[in-house]
Amino acid sequence: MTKKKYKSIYDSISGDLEELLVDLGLELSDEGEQDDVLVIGPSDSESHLTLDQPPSITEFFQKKGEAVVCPHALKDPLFSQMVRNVLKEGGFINVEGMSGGQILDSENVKMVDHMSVGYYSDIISTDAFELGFNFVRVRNYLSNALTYFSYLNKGDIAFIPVDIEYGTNDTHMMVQVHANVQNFVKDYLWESLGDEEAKSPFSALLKNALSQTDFLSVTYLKSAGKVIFTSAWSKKIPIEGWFTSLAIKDIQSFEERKEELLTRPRVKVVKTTVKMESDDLPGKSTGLMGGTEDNKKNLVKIKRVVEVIQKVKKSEGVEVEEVTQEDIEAMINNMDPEKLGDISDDEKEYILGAVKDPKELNKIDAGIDRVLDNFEGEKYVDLFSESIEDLSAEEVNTYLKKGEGEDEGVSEEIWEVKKGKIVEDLKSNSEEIRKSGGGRTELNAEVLKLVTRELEAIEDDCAPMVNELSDKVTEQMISEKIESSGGNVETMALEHSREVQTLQNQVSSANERATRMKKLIDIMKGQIASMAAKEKNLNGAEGTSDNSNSDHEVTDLKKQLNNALAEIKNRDSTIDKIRKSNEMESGSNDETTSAAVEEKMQEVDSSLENISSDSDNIEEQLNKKVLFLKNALEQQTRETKQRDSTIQKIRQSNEKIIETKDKEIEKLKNKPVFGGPAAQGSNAGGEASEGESLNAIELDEENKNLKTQLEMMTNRLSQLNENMEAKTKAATQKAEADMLKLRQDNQKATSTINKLKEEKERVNRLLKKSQQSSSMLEEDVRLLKIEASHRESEQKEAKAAGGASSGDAAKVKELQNREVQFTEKLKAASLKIKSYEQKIKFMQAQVNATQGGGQGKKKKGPGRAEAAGGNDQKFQLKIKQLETLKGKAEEATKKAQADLNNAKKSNVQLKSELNATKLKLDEAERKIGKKAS
Amino acid sequence: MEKNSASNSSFLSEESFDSGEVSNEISFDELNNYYFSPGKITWKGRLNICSAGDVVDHTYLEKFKKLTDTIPCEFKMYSWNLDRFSKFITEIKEAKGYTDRAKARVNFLNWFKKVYWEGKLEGSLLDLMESCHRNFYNLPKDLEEAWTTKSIDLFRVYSLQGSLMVCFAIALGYSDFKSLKDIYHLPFFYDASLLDSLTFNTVSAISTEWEDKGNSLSFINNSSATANEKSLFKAHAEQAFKGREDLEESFFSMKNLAPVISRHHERIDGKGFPHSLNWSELSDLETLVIFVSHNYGSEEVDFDNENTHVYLNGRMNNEVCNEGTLSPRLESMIVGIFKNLDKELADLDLIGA
Repeated sequence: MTKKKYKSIYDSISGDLEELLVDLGLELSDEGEQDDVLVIGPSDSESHLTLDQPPSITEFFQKKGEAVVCPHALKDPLFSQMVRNVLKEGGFINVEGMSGGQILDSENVKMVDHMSVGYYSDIISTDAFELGFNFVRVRNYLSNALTYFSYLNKGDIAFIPVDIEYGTNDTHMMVQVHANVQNFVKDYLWESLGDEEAKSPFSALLKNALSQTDFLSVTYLKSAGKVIFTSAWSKKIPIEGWFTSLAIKDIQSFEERKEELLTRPRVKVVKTTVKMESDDLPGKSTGLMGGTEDNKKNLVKIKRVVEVIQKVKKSEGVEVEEVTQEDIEAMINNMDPEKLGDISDDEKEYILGAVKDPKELNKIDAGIDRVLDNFEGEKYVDLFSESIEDLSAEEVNTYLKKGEGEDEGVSEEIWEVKKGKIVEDLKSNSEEIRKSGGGRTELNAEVLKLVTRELEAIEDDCAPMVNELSDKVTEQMISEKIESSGGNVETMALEHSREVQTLQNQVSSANERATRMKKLIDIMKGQIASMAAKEKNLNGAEGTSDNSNSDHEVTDLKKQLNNALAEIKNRDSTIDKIRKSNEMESGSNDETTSAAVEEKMQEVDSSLENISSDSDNIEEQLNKKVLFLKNALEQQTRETKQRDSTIQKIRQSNEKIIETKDKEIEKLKNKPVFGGPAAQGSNAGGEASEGESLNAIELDEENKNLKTQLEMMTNRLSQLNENMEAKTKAATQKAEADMLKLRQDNQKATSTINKLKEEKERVNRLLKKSQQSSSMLEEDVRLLKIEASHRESEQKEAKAAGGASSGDAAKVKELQNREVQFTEKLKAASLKIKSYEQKIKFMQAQVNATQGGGQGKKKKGPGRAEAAGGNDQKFQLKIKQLETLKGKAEEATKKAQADLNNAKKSNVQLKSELNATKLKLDEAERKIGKKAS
Repeated sequence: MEKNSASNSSFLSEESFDSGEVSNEISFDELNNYYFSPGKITWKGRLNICSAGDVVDHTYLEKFKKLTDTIPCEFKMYSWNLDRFSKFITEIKEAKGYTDRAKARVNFLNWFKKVYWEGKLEGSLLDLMESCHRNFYNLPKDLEEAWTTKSIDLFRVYSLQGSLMVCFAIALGYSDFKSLKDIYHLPFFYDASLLDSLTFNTVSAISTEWEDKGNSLSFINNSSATANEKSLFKAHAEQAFKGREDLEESFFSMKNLAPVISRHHERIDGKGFPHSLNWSELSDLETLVIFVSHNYGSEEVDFDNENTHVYLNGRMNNEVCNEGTLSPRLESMIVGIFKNLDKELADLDLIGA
């Protein structure tokens, strides 16, 4: 291109470019070496940009080029933003950031294997179609770009998952594809920008992708180890003068990183990969570091060759690092061609790498394990056993280097016995090893242990023999697997594991159900047994029970039982079907797993048989005990209904709460959020004044952040409110509970007080009555005394008048004595009455104290629930004490009452005696009067 | 919302047969199926054999098995959820095409949303842990033994994190069984390089650094850890496969997961370690690793708390908890997927029709 032509292009967009540069704080530097390259920015971080299609894109980018930009793209807001990203802002792993906020809504998909490229391309291109974008271009771009990532994945450069994000606005669509990468260099791009090659689709994938998009920006985030492909389409691209823009940011070339890459072990991993990939991609990945074709069948052989070479070179005193390709060739040529088979040049090259790097052996083992994805332990043991049995004593001696000179080695007869023992022990021990998760390595170790023990040798001597046998067995298994899968190892392994898993799940599920049924039946049996016992008792008391009214229930229950039995049979037949399909599907595929599944099936069968026999017994028992079972069932139904209604209520309540919450959440969601329309508006304002767009974007960002914070704060606030409400509710409930308890305590105390008051009144009444009786008695005694003294004076007078009869005087004396005794009794009764009074006083004091305590509690209120709880105990104690006192008082009262009654009786007797005495005295006086007269 | 109860709600099971397994007892045969204890198991009401979520020591249970067939258990796990989970995962595994897989994914999410995201149906964290263990767990024996011997609590934390990673990863769009299996196992390798030299200081640092919302490494730097412990801890994030290099190649289906694992102490605000990346430099899976590890990394998980939805979506809404650990993009994606799930279901039905 001439300088003149280029200048005319530059002049056509100079205003836009200058604006953009000013916006970014950059400026055009002096012209570069080429006429059609613009050098932008300060010398220490200058960017080379061209506004025309260079003759060779690769060459342009190899010479410090960073962007090939179509001049029209600078007039487009989204594309100019992408240029801005290249020149200044770097990469973002999101469409929103990459579009500078112009595209806010985006969708995501995750690609985890390259076979889904079409699926995801279709999803995205369908959306593109619905929104009016050129969906064919979108689909073609995605198909090529995603396949490009798949090849990078094959070469262990990019890794799944590949994240795909796409978003649109009214005029633009942006798709971002990114993945974790290691050691990504520009050269991987050039390799895919070439012409199409039939055998190597990788060579033109990026070129095809580039032609299907309007702008492609490739960014590498070194710290995060990610490569990002951002592509964009516009609905408004001009028909003439348009070409796809390409920007490559922050990616170094292989030359620039050569030293770093070659010193890092990761490169070797890439170079010598032996991993098996499902549905392998045709052709090579990038030829720079990866691209070695996997050779699945020769893994074991390669491993053995590597080990032999390492061992030989070590014995020769040669360091493995010094081994050359020629050494490898020479050693391989010296090996037995029958045993070795064909070794390709690629394999020889790989062997050289593996000899030098001991870690490679581990990787080969890993590769072998991947082929034998589901390790078939039982088969492995069988094959190993066969290999040992096929081994002759001579071969054993050769391995052990015995039979030479004085060392006679093991004889054929002895070896026959020993190998039988080894095989026997291996088979019995291997089961335990496999059950505990042991694999090939563990089984090999076991064989080595057994062989060493039987041959009475040291492990190092036996190891070569065991390792060789192990390799043979592994090789045999791999080749069988590959043959049985038609060569597609991974597919077969995948299918196999899938089938086994399905069968295991089905068996496990059937087993669980059978167990559950058995448990149910056990429960029913228990119920029946207990009911039978009850019925027996009942029959004993009432004779034979009448079942005539329960014929209908019997029929119902029989139906239920039959249904249960039919269900068992259905399940049985389902399990049979599963077993049959298992037998058909698994066939010779996997004897080990089939046996395991068969074993599980048998377990299920046996458990079902048990269930069936149990069911027969139950049928008999049910027929006998149907009435009781019916009751039990009705009870169960009632309980279930109650539970159902409770749960229904809970659910309804929950749903209401959730509805309310959803509404609240919906309200919150409808509020302006991060990246919402408000942000768009602010950005549109930014467009209006592009000179201030940087500030506008910053403000916009800040605005979004603030809105996000606001939303989060709102959510937090609502959560806090909820928490507060819950806490308040809990506190209120606790306070109410405390109050209720206090009220109950108070009621108890009041009723106790009332009882005590009643008792006190009763005692008071008794006391008064006693006092009245006592005063009456006293009055009687007083009157009696007066009368007696009066009689005494009269007697004295009579004596003085004529002398009284001696018999009458004795009687009078006796009466006087009685009177004295009676008086003493009265005194004693008075004393008791006094003591009752004291007790009553004490009780009154207790009642007062109780009343005072109860009032005190009331005053304390709910805030002192704990203290109230403490007083409650004391109060209970007091009540107990009072009750005891009350009991004693009642007893004492009863006793006093009895004493009073006795006193009254004595009093009445005394009165009658007094009357009699009085009469006698009167009579005696009359006699004395007659005599005197 | 009224608190769910595993023990008294078992009759809600859709299958009438399930009501047969409802009791407050568990048989030893049944217990053999569990890796994590389905509830609090006691002996004669006095001896606590294991709490809900503990790794069941079946050898220890043998001596009780000799005395009785069943043992009291306060269930905190919902057996029907285990069945459901396995059913959905089998659907994902057996899906023949991408549409079937997408349907299986949406069906799973629809169920997950009701039980664990919204709490409309009963479920507990233990369901997820046990289900994921049954469907995905395949950790090499030596690594399992090392973790269970040296720190059973951390092992349980990783199991919980792995389970949540799987569920959220399905929400993000992962529906490939092998990938989900890989994702489940990621947490078990977070700190695997520390296993050989696990000390009190490093164990404390593992979860405390996750819980600490301040500057990264502040705990270990201010602790009494030795210089060696400090340097080991600082380097551990990038050495997931140290001493187990073969596992990176042979164990995982996805390749080169070491960088993803190394993000478990990063933060979306760039304050994490070892690379101080910010959210615009992180993939969705990496931001998920950061969110789950920082928010569900506590060794003290209350498995008795059955409000699982609060533990999951509540944590997303709690900016104090998830400060610097939940990228707005991840939040909008996960919240968005559950919000728009009905639409996605309808779309898939349309495709199916």
